[in-house]
Amino acid sequence: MEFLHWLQDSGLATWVRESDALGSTFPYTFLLALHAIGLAMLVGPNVAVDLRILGYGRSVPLGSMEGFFRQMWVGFWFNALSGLVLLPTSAVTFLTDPIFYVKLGSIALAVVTLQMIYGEVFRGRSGRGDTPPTTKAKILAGTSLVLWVVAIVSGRLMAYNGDVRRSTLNAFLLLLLLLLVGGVGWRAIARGPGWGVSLRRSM
Amino acid sequence: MGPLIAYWLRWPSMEVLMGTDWGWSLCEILHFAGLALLVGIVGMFDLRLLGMAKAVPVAPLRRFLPWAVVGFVLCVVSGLSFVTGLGANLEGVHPYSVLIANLWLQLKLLFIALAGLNLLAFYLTGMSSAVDDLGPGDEAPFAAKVIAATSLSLWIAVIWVGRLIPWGL
Repeated sequence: MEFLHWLQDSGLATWVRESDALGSTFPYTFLLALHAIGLAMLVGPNVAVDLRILGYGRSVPLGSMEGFFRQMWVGFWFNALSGLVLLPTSAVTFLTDPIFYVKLGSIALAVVTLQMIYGEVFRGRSGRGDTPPTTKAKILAGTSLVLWVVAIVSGRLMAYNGDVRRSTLNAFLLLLLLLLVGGVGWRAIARGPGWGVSLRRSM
Repeated sequence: MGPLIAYWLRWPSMEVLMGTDWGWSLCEILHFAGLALLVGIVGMFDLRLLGMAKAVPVAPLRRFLPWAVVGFVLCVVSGLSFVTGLGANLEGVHPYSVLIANLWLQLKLLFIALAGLNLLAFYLTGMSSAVDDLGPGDEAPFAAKVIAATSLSLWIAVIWVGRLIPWGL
């Protein structure tokens, strides 16, 4: 705890937090922006790879998507480094907050999952043509999607207190449930036999 | 014109929704998830045209763009909720005064509009159909690369100035 206070009051943390360079609290907002840009560079392509493994966009040769791993790693290092400099600015709040550990844990697991996907689907496959993804690859892809959702949700919730966290989480889970029910219902109408077909014909 | 925009920008019922315990924070989650989908997946397309991941044929890669559109819709819905429900977060502050005074918000809207014009140029210059012919290993035409680089820079700039908006309030 003493160490956390020392860290938070250190010259670097104070400068990052309080400097007003360029009239826009430059170091702090710059790092926050970098953190959001890195998030997009990493999570967007990772979601695309997951979706491809799960059967979406089959016309894209899966093996060729190996090229996007570079984009993902750039995003990862953007965020690892900006996060490392941002952490001391609120060391006490962050490192005593369970949600912070949920965020870091889910990110660590998501990156390990991405590496396992690389090993299962991509490593040593170039030029050998596409084989359909294994069940293991599909499970990893699904896990990856869930872990990134957990990472983004917990990252955002770090800015709020207990009551807001609970009600936000409830609202988010309700929204997911509605989307899930809506999605399943839509597929049943679009593909299913019986009343779905007659409904589609009548539209 | 001003009073009309001011009238339309303030939605009392959005202020009630955004004033709940979960309204604002839920929109933040959707905004960040949306930006990851939008900028991450548009970025894949741009980087492929710029020469990264050249083994990927371009026409099939378009199959992922609907997910970027999903991201865009998430961002627009949550972003409009922030603006129209602003009074719930900052008591007594009118969205219109923020719109005419916040440089970062103005720049963000400008960059989004420019990204839209850039997309229009992608179609009008015929580059959109030209890149569809690019198979594995093929190099994009120079004009397509210029448009891709513009798109990537603009979307990164949108995130950048967007993250600064709270500091301009």
